[in-house]
Amino acid sequence: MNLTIDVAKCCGSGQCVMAAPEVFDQDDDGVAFLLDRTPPDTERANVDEAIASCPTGAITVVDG
Amino acid sequence: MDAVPVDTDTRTDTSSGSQPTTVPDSAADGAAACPHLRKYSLTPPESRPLDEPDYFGELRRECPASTVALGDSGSSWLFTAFEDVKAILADTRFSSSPLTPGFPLEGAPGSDAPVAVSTMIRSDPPVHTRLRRMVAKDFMPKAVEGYRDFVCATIDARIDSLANLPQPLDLIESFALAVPSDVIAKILGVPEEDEAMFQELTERMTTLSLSREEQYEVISEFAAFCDRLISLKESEPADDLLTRLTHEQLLTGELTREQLAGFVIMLVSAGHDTTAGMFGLSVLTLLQHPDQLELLRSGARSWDSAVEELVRIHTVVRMGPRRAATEDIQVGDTLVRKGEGVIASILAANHDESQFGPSGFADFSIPEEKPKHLGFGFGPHQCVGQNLARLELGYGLPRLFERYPNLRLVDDDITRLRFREGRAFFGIRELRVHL
Repeated sequence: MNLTIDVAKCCGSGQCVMAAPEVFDQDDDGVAFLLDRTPPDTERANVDEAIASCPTGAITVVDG
Repeated sequence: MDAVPVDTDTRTDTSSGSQPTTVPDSAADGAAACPHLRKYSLTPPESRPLDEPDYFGELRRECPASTVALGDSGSSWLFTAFEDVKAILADTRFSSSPLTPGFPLEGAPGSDAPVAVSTMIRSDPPVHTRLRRMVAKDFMPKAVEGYRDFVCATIDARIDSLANLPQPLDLIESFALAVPSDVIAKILGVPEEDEAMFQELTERMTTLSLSREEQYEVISEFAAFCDRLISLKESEPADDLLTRLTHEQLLTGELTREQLAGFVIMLVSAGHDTTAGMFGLSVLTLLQHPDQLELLRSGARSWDSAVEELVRIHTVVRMGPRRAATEDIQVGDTLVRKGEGVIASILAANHDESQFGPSGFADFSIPEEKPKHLGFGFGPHQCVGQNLARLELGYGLPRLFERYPNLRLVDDDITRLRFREGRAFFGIRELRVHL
C-alpha cells in the first residue's frame, strides 16, 4: 500500500499516530508525516484505523 | 464524507424519502415545512436526568434533518443521525464563524463577541488552520506524553488530599473541578498566586446565564488578566505554553494581543469544564453500575474502552456544534441551502441506536472495543485537547477507585442529582460520597 497525506488538511489531532505509530509521526508544528510511505500489509489494520479516525480525511491510500 | 455538492446525482435523493420533500428557501421557511418543529431544548426526561432528551430519539427515527426554533425568533436545522452529523462536521463548506450569514446565534450567548470570533473555534480555514497549528503541537500525543508525569502527580496529590477532608465530601469541588484546572494552569504557565483568580474567572466565563453585557464584561476581565500574564511571560519567560505563544506568535507579529488572549480564553473554557464534567459523571456512572466496575477491576474490560464509552454516553459538549452553510450542501437526503444555520448535535449522534445500540444511562455497558464516537467532535475543529483529556480521565478514574475501593454515593437516587445549570457544558453540580 502506498500512502499520502494532504498536509493542508491536517489539523494535527494526532489520531493517526495513536492508531499506527510505526507509520505516522507529527512534525514540530503537529503536522502529520509518513515514517513509512509504503508500509507492509501487517500495518494494514492500523492504517485503516488511522484513516477512519483522521478527522479531516487527510490520509489517502494511493494504491492497493 | 457523505456531504457532496448538489450538482451531483445525489440531488435526486431529495425527492425520495419523506423529509424534506420541499426544500426550504430559508431556515425560517423550513420551520413551517417541518412537521416536527419544536423549540431546541436539551432538557432530559425528568425520571432519566442523564439521558438525551426523548425527542432526539423520535427525530432520529422520523425526521433526522429537522428544524428547531431557537430563542425568540431564530431557527435552525437540527441534525441528529450519526452519519449526517459526522459528515457536516467534516465538511469545511459549513462555516464555524458566527459572522457567516445564517449562523444560528440565538441561545449561544457570547459566541459573536469580538474576542470569541478571533479564536480558532469560531474561524474557518485557512485562518483556522494557521491558528490551530500554533497549539496543535502542544497537545499532540507525544507532547501529552511529556505531560504525563506532572499530570499523574497532580492527580495523585488531589486523590491523596481527599482522605483529609471531612466525610461525606463533594467529589465535584474537591476533585472533578480541581484536577483539570490544576493541569491547564500548569500547561499554560499561570503562576500559583494567580490560580485562584484564574479559576474564578474561568468559572464565571463559562456561565451561560449571564446577560450579554455580563458576558462581555467577564470576557474583557479575563482578557485583562491574560494581558497581565502575557506581559509577565515577555519579561520572565518560562517553559510553558503561554511563554511560547508570546515569544513565537505575539512578538513576531503572527498574533495580536487580543488574539493571544482569545487563545487562552478558548483553551481554558474548552478544557476545564469538559474534563471536570466527565470526571463527575464517570464516577457516578461506575458507582451506579457496579457490575461494570467489577469488569474493570478484573481486567475483563479496559479503562481505555470505559473512558471512550463514558465520553460517548455523556457527551458533555451538548449545545451544538453549530455551523452555517456557505453554499448549497447535500447532507444525506437533505439539501441545506447557502445561508442556513445548522446544529449538528453530537449528543444525538452519540446516541444513534443504529450505530451504538441502546444508549441510555441504564444501558451503560463497557464494550470490548473502544466505540468510535463523536464526543470530541470531528473534522478540523475536533477537540485539540482530546489526548490530554484521555490522559486525565484514563489515569484519574482507575487511580481513584484503586485508592478508595469502598467509594460510595451518599444518595443513590439519580433523580435527586443537581446539575450545573446555565453552563456551556454538561456536568453534575455536587456528588457527595463516602471514601
